[in-house]
Amino acid sequence: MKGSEIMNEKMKDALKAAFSATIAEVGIDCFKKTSLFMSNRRENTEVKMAA
Amino acid sequence: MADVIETDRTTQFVRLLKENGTWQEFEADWRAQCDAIGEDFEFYAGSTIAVVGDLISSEQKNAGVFGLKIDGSYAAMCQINRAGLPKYDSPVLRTRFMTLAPDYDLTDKSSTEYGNVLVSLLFEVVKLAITDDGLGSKHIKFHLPSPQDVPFFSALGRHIKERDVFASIETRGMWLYITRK
Repeated sequence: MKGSEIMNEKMKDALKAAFSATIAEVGIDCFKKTSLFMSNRRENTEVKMAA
Repeated sequence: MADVIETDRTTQFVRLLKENGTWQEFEADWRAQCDAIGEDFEFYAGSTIAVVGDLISSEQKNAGVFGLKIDGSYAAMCQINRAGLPKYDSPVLRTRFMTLAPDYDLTDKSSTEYGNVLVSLLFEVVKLAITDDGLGSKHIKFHLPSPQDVPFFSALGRHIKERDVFASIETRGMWLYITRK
């Protein structure tokens, strides 16, 4: 395995572990409230327009 | 400039362009995902598609729209551009409109599946910052447009920081900032 591939694997493993630790800390519902979900983004826009 | 980056046998990060058909493939995929769930595609994604219109019409060296393809289906998309910004010693890669596919939004997935998409998306953006001629950058910013993004990404940033893979990572205001080693 090349050095760059080892670095990639190390980074990806770190991101996976960090995601798992984050879910353990804040819960999956916290993730599901983010703007990564188009439904949440649209809902926020509608709330702003209504206000 | 890399158009398609394969991370493993099942994941690709694809620059979406009308001229080579990748945008049409992406749009057809998300439209089919919406149809399968009974959601109207235009209502679901119309506003986001409208803001990336210029970037999918012609290839630009320092900007693009990218789709994350997992197992043959587009699981997420984002807009990326590289620009010089005040207070930075070199250009910054900015990632905006990070959006999960309808299938991930409108049906329940496991934490593992959500994690796989988000990790792959972050990883691919960082990889672009390392390897791409036009988008290569030491500094990377991810836009967090909603106040509800901050609790999750602040925690994620802290947990990534503990693993010492970047020179720095922190959330400030509505952005997640990363500086590569």
